[in-house]
Formats: sequence, C-alpha cells, structure tokens
Amino acid sequence: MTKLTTKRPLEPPGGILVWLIVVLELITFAAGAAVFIYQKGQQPSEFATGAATLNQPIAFANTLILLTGGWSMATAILSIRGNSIANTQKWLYITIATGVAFLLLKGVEFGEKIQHGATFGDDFFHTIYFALTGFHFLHVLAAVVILLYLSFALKRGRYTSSDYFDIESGGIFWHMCDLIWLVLYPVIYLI
Amino acid sequence: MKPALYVPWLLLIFLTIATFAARTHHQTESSFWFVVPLVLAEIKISVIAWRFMELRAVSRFWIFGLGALTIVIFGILAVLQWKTGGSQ
Repeated sequence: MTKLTTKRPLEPPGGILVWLIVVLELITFAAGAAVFIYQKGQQPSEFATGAATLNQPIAFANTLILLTGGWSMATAILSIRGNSIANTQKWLYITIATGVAFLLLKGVEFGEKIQHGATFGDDFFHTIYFALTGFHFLHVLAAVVILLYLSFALKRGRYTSSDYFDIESGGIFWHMCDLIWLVLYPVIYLI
Repeated sequence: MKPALYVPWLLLIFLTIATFAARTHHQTESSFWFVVPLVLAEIKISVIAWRFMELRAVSRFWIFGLGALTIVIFGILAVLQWKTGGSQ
C-alpha cells in the first residue's frame, strides 16, 4: 500500500483554491454536456450525422493517454514525497509527454473535421462539439505549460520532499483535465 | 516505484476498454444502454479522486462531496438523455 506521509484532514491535496476550480470547471463542462444532450434530442438527424463523423479510435486512444498521464502524475507526487528528485522529474516528463500526445491527436481530429468543412458555427453539433472539446483542449494545454514550469523549477532545486505544494496543486489541475474528459467522452462519443 | 498505483491505473484502463466495447455492442442491448458508459465514467472519476488525487488522505467530506457532485451531474445527464431521445 502507498503510504501518505502528510495528513491534512480538512485541507484537500493541493489546497482549497485549486479544488474550487475543479468543482466550478466540472459544473461548467457538465452544463455544456447537458446542452449537447438537449440539442441532440431537438435535432436528432443533425447530431446523428455529426456523430458519424467523430473519430472514435482517436477519442478512445486519447482517453487511455489521459488516464496514463493521471497515473504518472500521481507517481510523480509519490516520488517527490520520497525525496527522489530524479524520479519526480522523470514522471513529470512522462506526464507532459502524455499531455502533448493528447493535444497532437486532438489536433489531428480537429484537422480532419476542418478539412471536411466542419467548423465552429456550422451547425449545432459542430458548434457545441468544438466549444466543449476546444475548451478542454485549452485546459490540457494550460496543464502542460504548468507542468513544464514545475519541472523546470524542480530542476533548479526549488522543490524538496518537505516543500512540494506547487507540484501537488499542478497535479490536481492535471487530474481535473482527466475528470472533465471523463464527463465529455461518454456524452459526445458514446451515448 | 510504488506498485500500489498500478492497480487503479489498470482498473481505469480496463473500464475504458469495457466502455468502448459496450458502445460497439450497444445495438443489441436495451435502449437504456447509455447508463453503462455514464456509470463507468462515475466509477473512473471516483478511482481518480480517491487514489490519484489522494482524497483518501483527507476528511471524508471531500470524497463524499465530489462523489455527490458527480453523481448529480451524471444523473442529470442520464435523465436528459432518457427524456430527449435515448441512445444514438
């Protein structure tokens, strides 16, 4: 079993502010997902046509990539807690690599749609699709930038096993991208 | 390397593959099949929150709070899906 060395019963990992962001973002994306489902009921043929153009293998691969990034991020936190700076750096790089892979695959998916003439504002399906997945794309991009900064600061000796609050907060932001995707993925691609 | 985190990671991968497989075969299932990917997503979120985000280390308020929020979210999405047209 993994041992947690820091017990803070009332304060969540990463601090209360990042969790406020997690909750607000989840509610925001859930509202967008609800609009998607409602509009699908209003315009079933348009949404069925749009859904048929979705790239299922890329979405599936991206889900696996994000979940793997979540695992590597959690492992990075365990490593810094164990004062293994080299391992923390390695797992942060792996997490960044998963984020970049997600962004590249998502870029391919966006590119395919744009090549076929489907863009934001074309119809309800593509407007909501691009709004939700595009906004999520920006969140993953922000998470990658945050992790790049953290790995750079780690390399310069900024963090130790007793001072790693920023890495923990950055990790929660990264996991938030996972949670949001787990709301969007079934709504847009599966049901 | 702590082996403990392999278990939740493998569980998440398995649940994702199960979700994808459920979609592939959903036409032979009931019209309420859409509940399956939503329930699996809720389970995946709980695993991430509990193990990766380490809510198991703090007050139960946080895991119950996040759990309640996501159950409400998926509940609303499921009811909307059911009321507005069922599966694709």
